Amino acid sequence: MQVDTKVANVSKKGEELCGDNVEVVSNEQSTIIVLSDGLGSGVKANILANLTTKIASKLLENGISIDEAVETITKTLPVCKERQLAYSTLSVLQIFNDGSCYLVEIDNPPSFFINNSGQVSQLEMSERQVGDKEVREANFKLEEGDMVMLVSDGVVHAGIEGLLNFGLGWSGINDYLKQYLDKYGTTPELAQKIVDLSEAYYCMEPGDDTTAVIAQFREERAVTLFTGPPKDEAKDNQVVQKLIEQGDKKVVCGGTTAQIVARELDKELEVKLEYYDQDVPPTSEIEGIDLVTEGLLTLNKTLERLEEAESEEDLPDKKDGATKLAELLLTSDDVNLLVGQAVNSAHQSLKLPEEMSIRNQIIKKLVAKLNDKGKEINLKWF
Amino acid sequence: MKVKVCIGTPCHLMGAQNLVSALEKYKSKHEVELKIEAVNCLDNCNQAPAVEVAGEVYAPATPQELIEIVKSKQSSKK
Repeated sequence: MQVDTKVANVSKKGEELCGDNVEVVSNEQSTIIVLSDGLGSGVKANILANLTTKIASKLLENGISIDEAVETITKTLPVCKERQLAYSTLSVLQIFNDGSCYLVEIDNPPSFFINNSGQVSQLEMSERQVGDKEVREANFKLEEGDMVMLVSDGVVHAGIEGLLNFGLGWSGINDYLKQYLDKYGTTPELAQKIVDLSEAYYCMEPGDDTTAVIAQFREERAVTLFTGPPKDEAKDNQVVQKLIEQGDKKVVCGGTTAQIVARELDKELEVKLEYYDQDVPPTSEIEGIDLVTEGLLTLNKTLERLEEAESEEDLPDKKDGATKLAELLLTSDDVNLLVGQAVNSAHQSLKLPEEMSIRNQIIKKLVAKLNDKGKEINLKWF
Repeated sequence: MKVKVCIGTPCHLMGAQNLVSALEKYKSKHEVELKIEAVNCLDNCNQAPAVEVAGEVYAPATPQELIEIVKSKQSSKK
């Protein structure tokens, strides 16, 4: 299971540093999102918030209870000289792999629960006292596509000293959130919209540090890519079966490879004539395969696209094979590569040794690039 | 008449794209019966770019050469 998060914030007007801080940590069992709003604004608040999120995320990640974490934070934070206070707020959302969730809020506005069909609600929380702090807690379960939005008070107070007397409040944000959900769907990117909205209500001069973070729970997405004919022709069938038996997205790169897949599956191979990019040969179609492209040139161009793009939104708006492949790779969490090592006599006039062949080089670069982007790679040679 | 243009890696590098556009231009200009198809490989990589005109594989070096081949095939058919 995967958790997508998007953090958006804006600092109080005139401040370089944001006095809110968000920390996201993942381990094998869970993802922990911590939001803290430090007392005041600027450097002091930034340090307080940073300390709080760092301490909380580290302790919770290692299985220490929230009570102890709160106590540690209270005792550790430096005391403000003017106010004689050591203070910061705290929200912690821990999402386990099975979707069960633990949410704690201390002095932060109530979080927003957004289910996968776009309905927004406030979670029912129980209250208890830890030291001198009132802690609100909830245990609940997320379904595929459900989201939780944590906010700092800068969001619910949006508008004070700006367009409104008393700020938008929880229900005001809720109304806008519903409109955004109708328009843009359930995506973590809405965090940015909410912060932009708050900033606008502050007349672009925020009266407080303003932060929204959205976490979305979803299934892992995987893609399997088959490129290059296997060295031993007898293995063709085995590799094609490996490609087919996966429930994920399927990609075939390479003309000869595509012919093998079409032959083994007894399906038509239809080659398109349209050139969308001068450097990328046209794609083909095989029923049951999500994307069929030419091999080396397309893979090389895909590598270029991946270097230029941080996420799928940065990709050019093109329909060529390389862009489509880059998009599939960027939107997947796991990438399975089935790479054949047969040598294409037409490419191999240099008589390079096997491990130096062009395909090996490109695949190695591709694996390194995808690793950089945090993808889980599973590479098999045939 | 059917013309298959190979768009595999070597053929692409050797200008298959120009062959496709030349064929399309010829087809629309002369309003001839011509079915243009792209294929992945014609097993003629060493002489790329490869095309198959009415069942026979050729390796024209330029678009003009290809059009000449198509023309001669058409006239021999008549």
